[in-house]
Amino acid sequence: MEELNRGLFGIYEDYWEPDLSLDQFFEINSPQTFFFRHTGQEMSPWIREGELLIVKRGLDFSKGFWIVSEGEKWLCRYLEKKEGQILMGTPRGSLQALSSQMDFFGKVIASIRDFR
Amino acid sequence: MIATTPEVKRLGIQIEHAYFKIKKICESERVTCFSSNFSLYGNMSKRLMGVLKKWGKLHVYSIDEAFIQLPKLSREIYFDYAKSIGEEVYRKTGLSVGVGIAPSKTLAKIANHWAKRQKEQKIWVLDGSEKDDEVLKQVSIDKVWGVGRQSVAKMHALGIKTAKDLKYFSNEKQIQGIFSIRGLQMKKEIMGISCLEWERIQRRKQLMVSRGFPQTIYSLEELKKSVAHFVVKACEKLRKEKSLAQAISISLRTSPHYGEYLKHSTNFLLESPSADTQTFIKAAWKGLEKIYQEGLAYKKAGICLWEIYDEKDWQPSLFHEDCPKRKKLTEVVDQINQKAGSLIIRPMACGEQKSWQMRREKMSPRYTSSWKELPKCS
Repeated sequence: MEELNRGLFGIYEDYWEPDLSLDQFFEINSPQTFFFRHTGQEMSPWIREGELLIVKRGLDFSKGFWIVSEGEKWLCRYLEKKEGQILMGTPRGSLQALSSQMDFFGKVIASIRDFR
Repeated sequence: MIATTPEVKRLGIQIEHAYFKIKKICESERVTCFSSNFSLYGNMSKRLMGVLKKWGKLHVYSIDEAFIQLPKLSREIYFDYAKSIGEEVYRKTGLSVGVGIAPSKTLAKIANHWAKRQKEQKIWVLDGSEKDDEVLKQVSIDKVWGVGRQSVAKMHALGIKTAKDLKYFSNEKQIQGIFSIRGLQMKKEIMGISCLEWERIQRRKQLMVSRGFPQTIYSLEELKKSVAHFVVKACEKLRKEKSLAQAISISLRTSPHYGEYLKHSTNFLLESPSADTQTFIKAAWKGLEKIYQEGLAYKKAGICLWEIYDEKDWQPSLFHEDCPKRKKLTEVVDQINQKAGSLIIRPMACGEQKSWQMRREKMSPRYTSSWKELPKCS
């Protein structure tokens, strides 16, 4: 079926803008974007059990939440740099140095809490 | 086994081994085995190609191989390029890749092969000069891209054992006489003269889909469903590549563990080239009925489409009957399947249940394509 561009439809086309897209906003389709599911209470209340984390690889270091690997485990921790050293912390623990066995996976750029 | 790490290879486990044959050694040596996780491979491949395309015109060759057209620069700068490409891919995707740079595609494949043998940085540059010879003399001729099993014997008869031997083989007429223009192109490519056009490499000669069954199949009905499924997959790919095929081969293989090991196959030629799924299912079923024998335990089936033409090169005959309605329907089905997942809509000929489908008990989670299987962090 062909559309008729008459009346309001014709004017609307002059002002058309693309729909808002969370995919675009968080660059979900970028090669470096990954998802993680948060479990446990370690980071609560900053990040809660079941929250969906959007993680980006390949970013330069800046303070915030990061996914680091420790052996076969993935950890989500708050990281910041002090006096040239990267420190990690949880809501209830003090900042401590990253262990040498830990590797960075990527930075958490958003956390989604599902209220449904 | 379809892929192994170098550590596993050192245990004597090779990719052609069946899992049940190496199960014991895997358990005793604590080797971890995974079933194929195609959705994860596809997703990671898409990410890899997404990073690579920023570096230049990209030609995806396979799920884990691609060529990038780079600007003309010096050998030293190419080493920096290769290093940066490898580092960017790892930083953004976590994948370790080998990067080989050369003036021709064949030489680039050799450079890549050599890059993977490097201990630290998996990069290598060949430039077509005499500097390449140190590498080329260590690459046996059977490892050169495009040299098939039959050609190896003929090359050996000419005294060509390595890539370097081919590069310096003086009688080009003899090469062309034995291996046709393809052989001569191969020699020039190793000399660093680019001869292979991308479109020519891409054009397929055949399109094959085959699977081994987790359990043996005795019934013709079940075999028909599996073959229909393979045809759907092949035709989908054919249409995606804007190609047509005129012939189909159907093959069946029995299990070597249940009686005699038999292989049967037959061909079917269509009146005119097509990419229509239903046309090929009908042809495949006819072929299947011809080769099927009651009572045999079948372990593998496959189809192969051949006599492939570019859609735009084919001129329909005066009496060719086209069915525009079915063509439109197929287009819509392809569009839906592309968006919603492959084979969401499929002919009933494929059946509802895929009892013949591959067993993947040891599959790693679908980390990147299933909300329920995302990696967990704490």
